[in-house]
This record gives sequence, C-alpha cells and structure tokens, in this order.
Amino acid sequence: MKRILNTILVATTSLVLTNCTDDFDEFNTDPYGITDESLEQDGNNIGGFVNSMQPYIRTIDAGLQVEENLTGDAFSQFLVPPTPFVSNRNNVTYNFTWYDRQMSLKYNNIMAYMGRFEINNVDENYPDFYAWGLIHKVFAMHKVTDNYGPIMYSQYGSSTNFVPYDSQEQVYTQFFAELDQAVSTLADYADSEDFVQFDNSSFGGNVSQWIRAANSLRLRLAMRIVKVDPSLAQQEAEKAIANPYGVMESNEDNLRMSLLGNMHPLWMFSNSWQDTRMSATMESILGGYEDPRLPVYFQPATDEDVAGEFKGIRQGIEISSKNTYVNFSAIGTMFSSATDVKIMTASEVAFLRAEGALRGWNMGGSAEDFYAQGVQLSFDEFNTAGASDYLADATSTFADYTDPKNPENSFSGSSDVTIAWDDAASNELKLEKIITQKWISLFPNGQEAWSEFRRTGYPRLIPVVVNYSGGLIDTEEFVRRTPFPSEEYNIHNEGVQTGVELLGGPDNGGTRVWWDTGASNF
Amino acid sequence: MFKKIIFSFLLVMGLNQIAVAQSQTVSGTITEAETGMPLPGVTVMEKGTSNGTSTDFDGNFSLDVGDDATLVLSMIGYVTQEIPVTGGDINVEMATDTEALDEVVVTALGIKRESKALTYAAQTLGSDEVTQGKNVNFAQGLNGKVAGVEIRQGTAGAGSSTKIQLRGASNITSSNQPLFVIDGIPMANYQTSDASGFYGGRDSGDGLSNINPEDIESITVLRGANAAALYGSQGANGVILINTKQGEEGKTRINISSTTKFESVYDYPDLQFRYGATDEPGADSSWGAPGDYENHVDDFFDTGITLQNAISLSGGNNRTTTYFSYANTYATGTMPTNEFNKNNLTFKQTSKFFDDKLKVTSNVLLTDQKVDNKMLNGYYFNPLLGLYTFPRGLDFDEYANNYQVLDPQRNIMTQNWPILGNSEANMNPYWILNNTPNVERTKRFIGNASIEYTISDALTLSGRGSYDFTRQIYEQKAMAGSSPVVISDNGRYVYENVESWQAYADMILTYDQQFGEDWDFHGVLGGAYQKRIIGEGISVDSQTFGLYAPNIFNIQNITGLQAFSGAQRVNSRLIKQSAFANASLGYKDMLFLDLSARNDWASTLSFTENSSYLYPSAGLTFLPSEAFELPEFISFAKLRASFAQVANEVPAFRTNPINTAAYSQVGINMELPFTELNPEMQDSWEFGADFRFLDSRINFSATYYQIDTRDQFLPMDAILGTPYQVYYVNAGHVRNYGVEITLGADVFETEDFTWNTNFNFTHNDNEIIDLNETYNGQRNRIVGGGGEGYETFIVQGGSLGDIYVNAYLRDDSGNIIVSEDGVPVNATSTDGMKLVGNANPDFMLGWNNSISFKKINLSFLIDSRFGGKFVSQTEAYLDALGATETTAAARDAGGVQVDGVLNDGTPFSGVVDARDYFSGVGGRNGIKERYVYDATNIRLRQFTLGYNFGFEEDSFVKNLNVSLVGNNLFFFYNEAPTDPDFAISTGNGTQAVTNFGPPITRNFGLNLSANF
Repeated sequence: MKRILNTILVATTSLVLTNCTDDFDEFNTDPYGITDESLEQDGNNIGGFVNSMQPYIRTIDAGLQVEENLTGDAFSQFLVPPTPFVSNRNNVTYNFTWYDRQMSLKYNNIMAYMGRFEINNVDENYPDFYAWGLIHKVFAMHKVTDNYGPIMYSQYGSSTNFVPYDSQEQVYTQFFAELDQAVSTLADYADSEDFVQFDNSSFGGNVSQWIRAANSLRLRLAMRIVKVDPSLAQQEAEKAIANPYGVMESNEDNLRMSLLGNMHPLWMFSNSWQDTRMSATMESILGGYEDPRLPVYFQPATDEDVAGEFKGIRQGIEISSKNTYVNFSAIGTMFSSATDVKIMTASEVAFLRAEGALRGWNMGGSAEDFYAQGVQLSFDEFNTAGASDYLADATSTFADYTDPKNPENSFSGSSDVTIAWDDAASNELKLEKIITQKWISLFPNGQEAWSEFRRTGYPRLIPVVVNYSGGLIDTEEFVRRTPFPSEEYNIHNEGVQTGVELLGGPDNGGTRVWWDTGASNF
Repeated sequence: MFKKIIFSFLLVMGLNQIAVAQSQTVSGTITEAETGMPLPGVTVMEKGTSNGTSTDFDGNFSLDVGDDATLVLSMIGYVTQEIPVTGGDINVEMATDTEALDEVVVTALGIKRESKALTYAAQTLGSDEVTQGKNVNFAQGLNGKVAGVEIRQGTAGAGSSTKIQLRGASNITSSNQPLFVIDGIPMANYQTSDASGFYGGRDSGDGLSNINPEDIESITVLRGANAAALYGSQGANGVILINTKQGEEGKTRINISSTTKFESVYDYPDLQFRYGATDEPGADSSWGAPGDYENHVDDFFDTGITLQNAISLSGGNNRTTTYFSYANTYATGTMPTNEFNKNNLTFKQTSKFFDDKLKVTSNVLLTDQKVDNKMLNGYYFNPLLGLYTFPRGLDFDEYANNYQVLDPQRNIMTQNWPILGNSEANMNPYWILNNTPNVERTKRFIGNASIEYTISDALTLSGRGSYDFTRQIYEQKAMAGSSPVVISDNGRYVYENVESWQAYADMILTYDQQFGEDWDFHGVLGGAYQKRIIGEGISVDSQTFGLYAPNIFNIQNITGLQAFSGAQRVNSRLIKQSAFANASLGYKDMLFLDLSARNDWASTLSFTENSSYLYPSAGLTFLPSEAFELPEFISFAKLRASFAQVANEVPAFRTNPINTAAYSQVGINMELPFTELNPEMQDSWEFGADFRFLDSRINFSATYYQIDTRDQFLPMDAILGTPYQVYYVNAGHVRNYGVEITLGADVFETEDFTWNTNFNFTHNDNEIIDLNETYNGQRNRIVGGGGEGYETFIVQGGSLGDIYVNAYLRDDSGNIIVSEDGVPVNATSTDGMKLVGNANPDFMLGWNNSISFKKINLSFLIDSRFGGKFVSQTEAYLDALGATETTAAARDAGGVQVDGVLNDGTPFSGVVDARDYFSGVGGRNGIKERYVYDATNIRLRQFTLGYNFGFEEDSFVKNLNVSLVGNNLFFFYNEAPTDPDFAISTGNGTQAVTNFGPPITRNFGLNLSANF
C-alpha cells in the first residue's frame, strides 16, 4: 500500500514538477517564421531591409489600387475606373472613400524598416546602407506629404500612442537634409559593390547611379516648393545640378524597380479586374497631338460604339453600371510583360531643368533644349519614333472629347497649347508646354502628375461632372489633397489634430497643402 | 506514449465477457414501498457475477442463478437492497432513497460530487433535453435552456461554428468560448479558420459539430470560473461538461433513432419587384421603370432535408459494459448544392478487474465529415448577392438555366450574367453554386482511456489519457470565365490542408473519508499535461495571381509567388503542465467548504519571467434546510458563495514575435516583443441560493456574480508613427456582473398528466473600467472584423461589444446636415464613427415546457432576448441599388421626405429623389446609423409533439416513440431584417452584423425512435 502510494506521488510529481520547461522557448517560436539571428546571415537585416523597401516606393501589389490608381492616377486624369465603386460615390467623384492606404502602406513598408535601422544603429555601423535607405525613404515619403500635407516624420517612433505631425515645410526641410546626408555619405562609397546583392532596381547596386537618383529627386522636390520658397527652391535645384555625380540624363539613368516576377499592378487592375481605363483627358491631349505614344500607353476600345478608337472616360461622371464604359481603352499591352515599375526618369529631369532654366536658374542649359530633350527621352523610353516631327508640330492642340454614352460628359479641348517650342511665347505659355509634355512623359505615375498639376495648373484638366464632396471641394478648383486617414481619427486623434492645425484649414480635399499656394506661377 | 494508450484500449476492447453457469431459477415482483405500484426497470443482479436482468412493466422478473446466490436490486432513486435467494418467489418493496434529491453531478475533472455540496452554479440537461430539437450541432440545442448562456449560430449552415458565451464576454482579444470537456477530458475545440469582416472568410467549423448528439448522456454547464478552477485558464470562460452514454449492467439495449427534417426559408430581406432594372446595359441596380416583375427569389431556395439516423447498442455485466453507436447525418441546405454528410462511430467500454478495484474505461470516437458548398461569408462567392440584386424585369430563368455559355475562342464555358463583375464580384448565383464549388473534409479521431484504481475505501487513483486528432482539407475550385475581381483569367484554386491535435494526460489521487459522525473530507491531488497544436499545415490561395492553364486545379498550376505568402503555417502551439489540489470539507451535511489551488506552466509564456503561475479558489455552502427546521413547504434550501482566481496564458508566439517570409521582402516583425508579460488574472465572485419548495415540485436558483478580468493581454493597433504595427500591453480591467435565475415547477404531476415548466433568466453587464494610462481616453481597435462603416472599438468606460457606425452628421441641435441635394452627410470623416449600442442583449429569458398526457408528450421552448443592437449591411447595400421594398415605397411616394439643415445652417425640407437619397445613405460605406436595428426578439425556438407506444415487455420492440420536431418555427417579435442571433464570427469582432448572411429558416420533421 505504502509502495503504491509512493509510486503515485512520485509519478504525479514527476509528471509536473520535474517536467522540463526547457523546450518551451522553442515551442513558443513560430516554426515557419524567420528569426533575427538567421537574418544576420548575408546582411539580410541590413541590405535586406532596403531590398524589402524597394517594392513599396511605388507599390507593386494590389495595394496600389486604392493607394494611387483610384487617387493620383484619377486626379491626374491618367486613368479612370469604369467601375461605379461605392455606388459611384468615391474618390473619383470627390467623395473620399479611400484615403488610408496612401499613408499606411508607406509607414508599414518604408518607415518601419527605417525605424528598425534607427533602433539597430545602422547609421553608425553601416552608413552606406543607411544613406541608401534614406534615398528610398525620401522617394516614398514625399508622396505621402504631397498627398496629405503635414505628416508624422521628424518625431517618428518617439512614442507608442502619440506622435505629433510636422508641417509640410518642416518635412521638406528634412528631406533636403536627408538627401544631403545620403549623397555625401555615398560619395565615399562610389565604387562599392555592397548594394549589388540587395538591389532589385535598374541600378543593380551601382552607387553612382543612386547618387544621381538622389540628386534628381532633390531637383523634383526643389521645384515643388518653388512657389512657396523660391530661393530655397533655386538653391536646392542648383545644388542638385552642381553635384559631381549630376542628375539623370539618359534613359540608362532611369530608376525602375523590379516587379519580382509579379504581374504589373496596373495590368492586374486593367486586364484582370477591368477596373481602370484611359481617361478622356488622355484622349483629348494625346489624341489631339496625334502622339505616337498613345497606342503604346493604351489599347483601342472594344466597345461596339467606338470599336478601334482610342476612347477614354471622363473623370467624375455618372456611372451606373460597369458595363457602360468597361470596353473603352484599356491600358497598353506593354504592361502585360512588364518586369518593373518606373520610379523616376531622365525625361522628367529634363523637364524639371527646362522649368528651372525658364526661371533663370543655372540648370546647365536652356529651357528649349531641355524641353526637346525631355520629349526625346520619353519617346525613347517608350520605344516610339518621330520625336523631331512631333516637336515641330506647331498646330495640333487638345482635341474635343465626345462621350458616346452620355453627351453631357463631352467637352471641347481645354487648351490651345501646341507642342512646338516658341521662344517668343510668354513664360506662362512655355511653362504650360513643359508641364503638359511632362504630364505625358510621366505616365503611368499619376501621383507625381497630380502633384505637378496642383502646383502649376497644367495641363488644363477637365473638371468633374458630378461632385459628391458635399461642397467641400470646389469643382472648378479641383481636388487639392487627400484627407487624413479615418484610422488616424479613430486611434490617434490627438496626433492627427496636430496635423489639422498645421494644415491651416479644414481637413478635407478642398484645402491646399503648403507648397500649393494657388498663386500665379511666376 | 500515445501509442501505448491506443494499444491499451485496444487491449481492453478485446477482453471478452465471461459466461457464468446457472443452476436455479428465481422469480418475483418488485413494488414501490410508498404506493404499492409495480416497479418496472429495476436492475436485478446476481451478486458477484455479470448475471442479471431487469423488471418488466408489471415489476416482474425471472433469473437463473447459482446456488447460494444473493440478488442485488438497484434502481436510481431507490435504496439498493441485497436479498439472499432462499427458494420461492421473491417479492420486495423498494423504498425511495431520500438522498436521491441530492443528485450527483459530474464536476471538473470528472469528479462526482453531490449537487448539494457544490459551492457554485451548475445546471444539468439530460440527453432528452439536449437532443430534443434534433440539431445537427448539439450546442444549438442548448439555446434558451440554460441560464447564463448566450448562443449564436454561425452562418455557414450545417457544420458551422457556434458562438457560445457564458456570463458575457470578458476577454477583449482572446476567445470567450467556454471549454468543452468530454468525460472529464478537455476537448480541443478546433477552429482553424473563422469568418470575419465583410468580404469573405471561411468558417472551418469548430469541432463541436463533429460530435454525435445521440452519444450524449447529459450536459452540465459550469458557468463561472469558480466551477472550473480545476481546469485552469481553459475553464475561465466556463465549462460545458459532456458525459457520454455508456453501457449498463445487465441490460442489453438497442436504440434506433431516425429523424427526417425539412428546412425551409421563411424570411429574407424585404425586396421590391415593381421597379425595373436601371436603364443602362449591365446595370446592377433597379432604379428603372415601374412594372409588375416576377419574384425570382422565392423559387431559388430549396427545401433542405436533414436525415439523422443513429443506432446504438449497449449492454454489459457487472464487470464489463459496452456502448457502441453509429450515426449518419445527411443534410442538404436551403441553398442549392449545399450538402453535409457526417458519419460518427463511437465505441466505449468499461471493465472492472481485481474485485472491482480497477476500472478501465476506453472510448473511441471517429468522425468523418464532408461539407459541399459551405456558405462563405460576405460579398465574395455569395450567391445571395447576385440573387437579391438581380435587376428586376430581366429574365432570371434564362440566366438560371443557362448560367454558362461556350466561349468558342477559348473553348471554355463562361458565365452568362447581365451584371459585369462589379467590385463586390456580383456573379450568377448558379455559376457560383456549380462552377466555384468548395468542399471541406474533416476526419477526427478521439481516443480516451482512463484507469481508476481503488486503493482503499478512501483512496482512489485515476489516470487518463487522450489523443484528439483532426485533419481538415478544404478546396475551392473556381472556374475561369466569370468575375475578374475574385477569379483570374484561368480560374482560382484554394487549397488548405491542416491538422490539429491535442494530447492530454492527467493523474489524480482522490481521498474520501468521514471523520466521526460529523465531518466529511474529500481531497484531490493531481497533475496534468497537455500539448496542443492547432492548424498546422499548408494554405495556398491563387486569388487573382493566376493559373498557368485554365481550369486545372492543383498547386503546380499556380503562377505568381504571392499565392504562397504565408502558405506554411501553424495557428498556435501550447504545452501546459499543471499541478492542482482540491479539498472539500463537509460538516453535518449542512456546511461545505471547498478550497482549491492550481499551478500552471505554459509554454506561451516562455521568454517572460512568468511561465509558472499559481491561483486559488474557495467556496462555501450552507444548507439551512439541514441546519434548521424550516417550514414544511421548503424542502431544500442552500446558500453558497465562492471566489475563484484564474490566470490565463497568452496566445502562442506573442512573447517572441519573429519575422515572416513574404514573397517580395523580409516581412519584418511588426509586433513589439513583449517580455514583461504577466498572465491575465480573472477574479470571480459568485453568490447564490437554491431552494426547492412543496416536496421539490418547485425549484428556484439564483446567482449573482462579478468577474473582474485584469492585466489583459491586449494587442493594440499601433499608430502609424511607430516602427511596429502592434503593441502589447498587459492592461485593462473588464468587469462582468450579472444575475442568473432559474425557476422550475412541476405544475401538474398526476399519473396521466404532467406539466413541467422552467424559466431561465440571464442578465449580464459589462464595463471596461480601465485600459491603461496610454490608451485610456482613446478609441482602440483591438481585433479586426470591422469595415464598411461598422466597427467595434474598445474604449475606457464602454463595454465589450460596443458598436460604432457611420452616423449622420448633425448640428449642435441634433438636426441632420444635408448636402444641397438633400442627401444626409456622413459624419465619419469629420467626427469619426458614432456609438450606437451594444451587440449583447440586456437580458435573456427562456421558457421551456414539457407536458405529457398519457402517452402523448409535448414540449415547447420560447426563447427571447431583450435589448442589444444589430446592423444589417445587406439592407444598406440593397437600398443603394434600389432592390428593397423600402426604396420602392419611397419611389411610390415620389421620393424621401428629408428635413434637415444645410452646412451653413439653413433649414432644408423637401422631397429627395429616392435614388439620390439611398445612393448616399445606403451602400457599402453609407450611413450605417440608418441600418441599426433593435435586436430584441422572441421566438418559438423548439416544439415537439410525440407519442409513446408502450409495448409488452416480451415483445421484440420495447418502446417506440414518434414525434414531430420543429425548430425556430417563428418569431413572436423581431424587428431586425434577419435573425439577429446570426454571428459571422465566433471571435470578438464582426458581432451582431450581417452581410448577405443566410435567410431565416425554420425546420420541422419527424423523429422515430425505438428501443429493443
């Protein structure tokens, strides 16, 4: 009896007390995850993090749809959905429905990695990788501030529940400082091959090219603030040009990011989902100019009313059914086989220099030359011939647009501006030519085109027909920004209120951001 | 180890019963002492053998016995007697056992206790009550029958999960589902995939639906942690104990039960058929010309048929008893092509050895279940979307009969549908049903073995082991040629193959001793080990990333690496080791003190300082009816109080979050590691009283409880301004307090006519007293499952289950602000969402009756919930498309009368065009405030009417019962446009909301059961 009792006691206690909790750590680690230790191999926690940021400067997956395709792409009037999302009351008709992802995708996929760099002191231990990361960060985050205005930036990561917003002016100041740091650091690593194994961009790890990209980005940002701080704009623009590594000048300098074997998101939206089509404005401008890039950008319509034509949809119209416009011009077949997405190109840089020269800045050439260069580079980029004939066209203007489904949406060409450079023309007209051509060449990066439209008013876009903003956005003034995410109001109300205050106006799509002064261009 | 367990019960099964030689025949009659009536069903056994019989309807028996035999006469509720065989007839009177009132209940860990000694609330349902309604999932048969229990049925039809809450939700993030225990062994309630949100998501079923309801002998509900302290954290949400049937000594029984039920749709959203399709090709709305259009919806639904056939055989002698059952359940849903098929096989054997000192029980449950075309939640792949929105006036039959047409160019069949896939993937319902089929196959094995050894009269040692394994394979094959939103050019393939298993073992020493006349001691000392893995396997979904060749459904055919993001996974892993002790001290049968303590070591708390944690409970019961001379009408009185603390571990992997491999990047860990973690602590107080009056014809039980859950483990959505998406805090103080009352009476109790009635009342209040310094004063989104203008936020001062929606923008005086065209403005973008109520009812009342008149028996259950809100996304969506009666009525009236103010304060009053109005107010992100309904409902939950054919004892068929069974027959009151009890998710999000959920159905049928 006693023996039995003893056995029991031993058995019971041994079952629990002498148990090994040693295997608990292993058992409580997800067997299909990646530990930090394993990331240390091959520097996957340094270069691998920059590599991980690359697909999100311009999002390469489906997230792009609400982030840019239904916002910047529509507002720049590059691409318009045939789909009446949310009973047709959505961003495209000025009833903001999607305004969270423009922020969240960038914070989760760009800022989070840079935040990890701060935590791991990468700036001290691997300054070149840190500098490289900074370039990615500025490329991505300027889109966020251009969308919203004030954003969380300098105080990023300072607290778990309250991070005050910075004014857009402050953010731009930091952008320039970060580009300074990146460029000066990388100059010491110009011949390094450290980036090669991590770089999925068109640069293949070439540090000089990255410096050139940083300088080009500086030029883009400098021009953006020209109306609000002209002297800083000139100073930064000239700094970009003066840098020994210079700016992008040929299409080999273009920054493009690999799709990593995935389908181009715009092809997915256009071909798979049938949720994006050519805009009426594209039809009017490229059609009016008989632009040879039109058949590259888009496919002819298959709708029986307009079969074979390049037919676009006007932004912000009444759409009841997806069927009505879905067989208008879809996006060009070049996207079906695309292996990368475009971030920034030499043609954009040429147009920026053209504008700089027009403003009398030292851009290393004349506005006219850069203008022609921009067009030529864009033609080359899209493998189209005939740039010189095109540039000589002094008669073609924007064409009239007819909506075969609903004549109320038809409009006359919104501008008489022609292609050919006219040295005698006013600065304003010259600027219109430059920005109009830049708009064409930026395709399909609608986000940047929308920012430049807001800054300059060019090209002359077409106001929406239906405006569901409830009076918040003036149809004639166009949409000026994206409202702060509702998620911020829901879980970071105190923080977003600092942003609203810095915005200096009500938080809606009708309020202008800092660099968008609404004043004249000159 | 588990091989050994399996081997050991195989061995046990193989043991043969031993025959004993007989030498004389003894017969006699047994009557009831008080009434002198013959007593049927008394077990008559020859002592020390397996030889036995039972008395017939006239109390007679006859048995061949050996020389010098002694008969043991026993029957539940009567005093057992031993009668030596002396020759001649034996006529015995059996006296009722006065102690029989003190029914024995099976409590935690299978420990049997007298109900009067319990210090907490427990409610037991017998097998009749559980299976009365012949529900495929037995858990739904508990609805309205037990106080303190809230049950919501899943929306995936047969095989869907059930959301069960005892005493309200107290966990903000982790599960609030109770623990299920089969024969003392915790059962893993596997749910590997839960629907949530508005787009899709699949309910994998929760494992409860695997159980054969006919195997259930009784169910005991231990509502609070007080009752469940011995189960530890798993029991913190209460415990539902299932005792399965087993063979009985001396009786060989065959039971056959056959049920045929019909399920029919009796309500779906109120649709209109008098305004036609919007005059545009391909429109998905009906804002067109008035007319008289065909109702195409009624004919769409099938009459579902459920066939439940079960047979069980049981029997045994005084050494070995055996129970075997087989059941087949076949059901078709009201949704065409939905089919459910389940086979259950159960084998249970109990044997005694060494002068009955060693008792070995083994139990094997096998389940094989297949569900075709289980309903998916939300817009995607939901035939109801296309059905309800189908533009009026078009020829639905044409699309129904020719849902696919040949695309000669591709040589594949493509969808024939007037609506081009809109962003919610509106498709031809028949295309969805036939060409995007899903199938879910589940195989489950549960093997339990237990050994109980009586060391001495006082000391018993028992050990149990169990292995519970489930594999589930789910596939969906969506053919090419329909909505591009959810299916690529070449089709879509979803494949999931996951297993879940749990190994459990415990060893318990029990000590029962009386000390002197007055003192009674009951002690338990034990240890338990548990290892559980849920949802480990592969999950691949090609989504719209594409297939290489059309309509070839295998993993090799998937293009696009994105399909493999997160393909290999495990939902959770846990090892838990426990030691526990329990002591009960009874004084003169009138005062009982119960103390217990438990220590757990949990693997999910590794990497912290606290992987070991101890928690106690204590309870006190006093029986005035034993202590004092009470007035005669009080037959029993009991007062009880108890306190329990339960600690809860956290979900797996949270203390060591690591990076994930995504297709395009190192998916860096976005969770801030949380190693300062403490286990959650839950303190429960419970006070109760149980009374029985008038010879126990009336019983009354009331319990008040308060549950304080502190240091909750909260994953908070981090703000975007931090390098993490999720932070964890050990915070929060959530309090639940409430009252549970049960009142029962035998209203009539005569030989021919009995009427038993029972009321269950439940009220629970929930308060989020504190989150923590950082998160107080703000809205915190804890779990997903919202969207489309509906959320549940966690706010200090609020309650769990608070519903926030897009609301009307109002001015300071509360006037609705409208835009120039008179359409109300949504307040969310400027004011955030607004609190409109709570998903949980204020109180629930169930009224259960069983009446018998001679051989006829009748039962009905009226179940009601009062208060709470319910949101219908379906109505909002359909309104925007002009598909509802509401929009038709508005059009009949020339528009919607709107009285409000413009943004500048100018009053607005006018009739707004119905289409403008409902496009603005309804729709996906519309003003959900309009679509919030009172969830109060009263329904006839269950109705049965049966006839018992009593046959002669020597006939082949002993008893035959035929009954009509009906469930959910109708609502006495319901304001919501659907059944507000539907739950999309068993989790804490997406509560009290529907998005194209199934229509309300009722079912009724015929049950035939026979005993041989």
